[in-house]
Amino acid sequence: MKKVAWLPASLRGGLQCAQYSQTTASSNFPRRTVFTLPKKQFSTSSSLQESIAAAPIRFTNNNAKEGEEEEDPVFNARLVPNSASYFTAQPIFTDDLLSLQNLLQRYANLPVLKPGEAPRVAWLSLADYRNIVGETVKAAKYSKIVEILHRLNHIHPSLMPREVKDVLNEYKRDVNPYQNTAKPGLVNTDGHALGAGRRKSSTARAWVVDGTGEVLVNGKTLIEAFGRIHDRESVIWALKATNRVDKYNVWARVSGGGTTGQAEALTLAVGKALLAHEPALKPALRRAGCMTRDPKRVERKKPGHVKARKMPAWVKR
Amino acid sequence: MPPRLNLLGAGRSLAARSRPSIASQQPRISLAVSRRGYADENEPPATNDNQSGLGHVSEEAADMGKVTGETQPDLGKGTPVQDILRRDQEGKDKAPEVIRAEIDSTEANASDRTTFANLLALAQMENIARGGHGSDPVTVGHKYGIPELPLASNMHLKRRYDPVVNQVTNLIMKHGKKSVAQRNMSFILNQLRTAPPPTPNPARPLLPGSPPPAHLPLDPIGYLTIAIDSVAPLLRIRSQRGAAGGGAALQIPVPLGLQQRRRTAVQWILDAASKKKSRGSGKGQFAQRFADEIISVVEGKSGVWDRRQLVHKTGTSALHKQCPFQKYSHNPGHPHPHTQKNAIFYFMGST
Amino acid sequence: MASTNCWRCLSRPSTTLTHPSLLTLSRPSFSTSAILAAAVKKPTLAARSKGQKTLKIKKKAVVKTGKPPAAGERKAMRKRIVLSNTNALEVEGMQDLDEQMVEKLVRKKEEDLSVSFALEAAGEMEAEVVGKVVGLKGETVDSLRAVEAFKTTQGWGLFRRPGLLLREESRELSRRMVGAARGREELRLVIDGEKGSGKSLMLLHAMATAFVKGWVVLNIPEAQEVTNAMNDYAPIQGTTPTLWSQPTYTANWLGQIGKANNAVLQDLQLSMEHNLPIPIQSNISLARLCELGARDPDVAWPIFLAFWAEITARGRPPVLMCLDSLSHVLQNSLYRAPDYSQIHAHDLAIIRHFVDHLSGKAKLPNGGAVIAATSRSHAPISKSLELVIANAEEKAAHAKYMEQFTARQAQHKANYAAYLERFPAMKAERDAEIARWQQQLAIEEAELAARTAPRQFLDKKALKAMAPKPLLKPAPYAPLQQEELQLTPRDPFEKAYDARADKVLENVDVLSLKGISRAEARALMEYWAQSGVLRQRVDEESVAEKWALAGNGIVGEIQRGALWMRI
Repeated sequence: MKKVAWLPASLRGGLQCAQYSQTTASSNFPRRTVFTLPKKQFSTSSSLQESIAAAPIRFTNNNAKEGEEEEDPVFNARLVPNSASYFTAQPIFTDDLLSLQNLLQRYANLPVLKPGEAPRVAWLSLADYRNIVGETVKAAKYSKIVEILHRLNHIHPSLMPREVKDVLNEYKRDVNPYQNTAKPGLVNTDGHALGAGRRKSSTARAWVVDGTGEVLVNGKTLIEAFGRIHDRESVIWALKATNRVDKYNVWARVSGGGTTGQAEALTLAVGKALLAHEPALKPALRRAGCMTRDPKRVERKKPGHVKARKMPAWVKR
Repeated sequence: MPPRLNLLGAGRSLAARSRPSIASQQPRISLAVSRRGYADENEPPATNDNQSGLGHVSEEAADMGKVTGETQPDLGKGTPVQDILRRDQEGKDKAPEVIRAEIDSTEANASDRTTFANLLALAQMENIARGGHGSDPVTVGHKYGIPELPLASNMHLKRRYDPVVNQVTNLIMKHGKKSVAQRNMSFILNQLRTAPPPTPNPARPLLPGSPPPAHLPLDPIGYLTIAIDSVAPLLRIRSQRGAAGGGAALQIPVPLGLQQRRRTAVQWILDAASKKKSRGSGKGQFAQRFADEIISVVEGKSGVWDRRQLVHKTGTSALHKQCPFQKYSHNPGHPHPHTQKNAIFYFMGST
Repeated sequence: MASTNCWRCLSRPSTTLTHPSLLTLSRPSFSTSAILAAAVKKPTLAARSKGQKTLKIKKKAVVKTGKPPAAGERKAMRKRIVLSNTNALEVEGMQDLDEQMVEKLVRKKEEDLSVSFALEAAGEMEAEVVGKVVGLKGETVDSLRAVEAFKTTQGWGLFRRPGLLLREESRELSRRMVGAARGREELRLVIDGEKGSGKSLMLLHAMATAFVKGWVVLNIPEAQEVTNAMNDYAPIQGTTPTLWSQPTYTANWLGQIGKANNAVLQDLQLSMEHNLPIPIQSNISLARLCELGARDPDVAWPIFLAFWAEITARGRPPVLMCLDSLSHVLQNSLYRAPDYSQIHAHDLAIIRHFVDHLSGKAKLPNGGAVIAATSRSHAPISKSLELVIANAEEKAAHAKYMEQFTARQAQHKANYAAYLERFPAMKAERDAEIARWQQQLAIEEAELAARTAPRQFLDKKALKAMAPKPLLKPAPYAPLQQEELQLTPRDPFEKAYDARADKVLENVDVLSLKGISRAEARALMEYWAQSGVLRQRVDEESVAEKWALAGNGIVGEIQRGALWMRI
């Protein structure tokens, strides 16, 4: 053990096979999984060795499981890595990919859900994965893993093998953001539905009531609140796109930002409030662009720049 | 959920259950097998023996309906015997004659089950089943009907203007002042519709298929589009340094897409308009000049036509001069790599 | 102050001390910067030009090509009014605003019934004219153009010929005008409303009606032009306080009046003797008199006075005077008196003439109307006007409330009477109930008494409270609470009220314009669609959308949204 301490961590385990004569063939040994990895990546402690492509040594055969036949001890004259992936650039990644491919191959014939019907899962991000395996995995390579995971996720849940489930769980992010569904809006006993919207730095709240098409924004009529026709149209776009301008009244409060931001924040707010009245309008409103929060913001100024990206003029000396 | 208060339906389902042979379980399984690619039940089958995977006849028939895409019996109502018989030919043959006659008569109007009134009625019945009243408010998901999807192309918040108008507006915008540009744009369009109809020059024909000039002013957007599309160049000249040998630049014609063609045309018109002198004073002078330029384009008087001519001429001669891909055209084995360009010159012959 | 003389020697004044050079010497110097600054030598021009760069960059001289536009040409282009678009389609079946149409417009409802039966019998039953777009006759258009009733911002140039929407307020205005002419009294009105609500067009409607009815129309198209010191002016001799005439403006105005009202004025002849600075024949027509006044600015004002005297003489037609952007005349004008004091707008002769009639100080013996419209675009704020308008709106709202209140009160009284009538029956019913209750109570008590053990506690007090109360006498009549009229008070700390304006506006009526109704909006949009300028289907949805986008039917904004900005 001490003799190989100078070797790279990934090699150390492999070399152990050769140091001790009593080694089993790698094929029979259960391969470790990536995710039982210890947290300390950069320590040199011996617990690390488990994680590396070669298996630890079995000193005796008496702890073998029942039913497993005893094998003749094989003597390797040279260093033999546990897995052939040892010779690739990213052995752990390659192992993972291969095992997933193997899994998929085994369960390829199971019935699957229609595309899009599978539960949405957030897989580990590339950065997380890199952190865990400690290898520089390229994005394109990792996407292959994600692709297989995606396919495995589509196996019908009633027939999903336990093995697949476990593997999928290992690749899942700790928090699934897709479980976080928006609460449906409510219409209160007075018939008011509240919707909220944001755009740029504006925040809007709109109460939509059954009515005749009157709009008050911060207590002002539409023409007092917005000078531009474009902005006025934006405010009632949800109603306009669904032909409901004369069916509802809108009472809104909006603050922050400029006119465009306020108008488009109101678009979202009115759309959401309308959705509380008529949930079946969601596809129409989505297509009308009234359901999407525009996430664009002003880019922050950076030090050394005049604005977000503008550099000071070049001065000779 | 409170128990359903549907005594009649209960009786019916009881009656149906007395003939277990009718409840066909076999087709369901076989169907699932035949459609193996997708298994689309929403819930996983129950593992517990107490909750048997198979519901009573109505639920089962509803599931069948979902699978086959037929009209489904209404679970709130229970299943009339007739519905079950309709699925089961053998049972139908053995059924009493009265029921058989009824089945045949009802089969015709099965299609009008999904009307709004029907949905409303269903929802009302659901209210009753929940223990409320039939007159309770009903949620159908919409109150005034759902707009037809897909929506019209100008119904999206971000694409509400005509594409040409949008592009020209953005091109005449200065310092990011879009509202000013929009005001100018509306001035231009208004100018187009109040100006006397243009008299086109036969030497400078407009796009084929454009309406007669007398119709243009009342369709100012069409007017603008025709003017821009008519003078839009089909290509631009890209000069590659040193490609002609000896450091001389090689002029390579590159075909332009629709947006790029329009953009070039508008830029030319803008150049021409900014060189004009305004006749009046006050707001909207630029827009006035732009509108005048559009009119003179349609009338064939504008210098923009010459610019287009020049580009096309350069493009044609450049293509004749260069030979790198002429060898392909002589070789029947290789398709010409610039077929698109040839098409352009075919068109250009007419201009 | 200390004496400059020497204290010890009182007899001899020490003039030497007052010598300026000595004084400066003796003054202590607190700052040296002035001296230092004086010492710095400014670089001479020669030194600066020697190799040192300056920031001054010479611009290329603008090369002028072509002939510059003639004086006034560009302004004329800006102010040009186009009333016809030959591209637009002719609207079929559009009726003209003629005398018959005005009659139809002003016909009262109750009158309507009898007349409508007659019309029905004759087979001439006509539909409602309110909510229709009517065309203007050629001569009306000429007259309106002469008095500058059309403005560049109103979008006349989009249509084949000028058309006017008859709205509910137009009917009211026409009714009041016609009524005033009938009763030989004057209608004094201020038209107010939001920006784009059609104030100027309401003026135009009044003028068109007047021209159609054969009135004489005097219009000040823009009060700002009179008060913003752009015209020559002169004091009028023999007036205290001094009035100021504006000769050129008056001459021009007279010309406009003569041209616009030519049809009426050429048939009217001078009927009085006037002492005018120029000799005038005694039998010329009033149109000719206006022409004479328009020709010579120096005599324009006296001729205008003569003209006014003629037009207000017995048996002459009614007169309509209009003025747009009222708030310009409710404050000091930009003119200055020779002592550089500001001249109040009411000291300008033309304005004084108008406001005297607006305030009711001067009468129109033949009847007529004096109408002023406010302006909401780039007009000065007049606190006096704002207060008057606010109070007028409050009064109107209260009148509406009172109407409803009276109806409610009548209903309330009727209800009370019915209650009184029903009361004996109710009383009997209640007595029977009490009897039943007591019977029940007795039974229960008996039962309780019969039960020996365990004894149950009977809360007699609670039971008594639960017992129904007997009805003794009917409840007294409670009258409905009436809301009092609350007018916006004058702000005691506000300095911007104009006393003279207050006096003028003391008792004028206010017609406040709101948005048009959906039906009117629809009529307007259909007219646009028929003219070919609105390329859109006009249906309930599109009307509702434009109506909502225009802040609940502000007509100018509807036009802006449907015709100009969204093509």
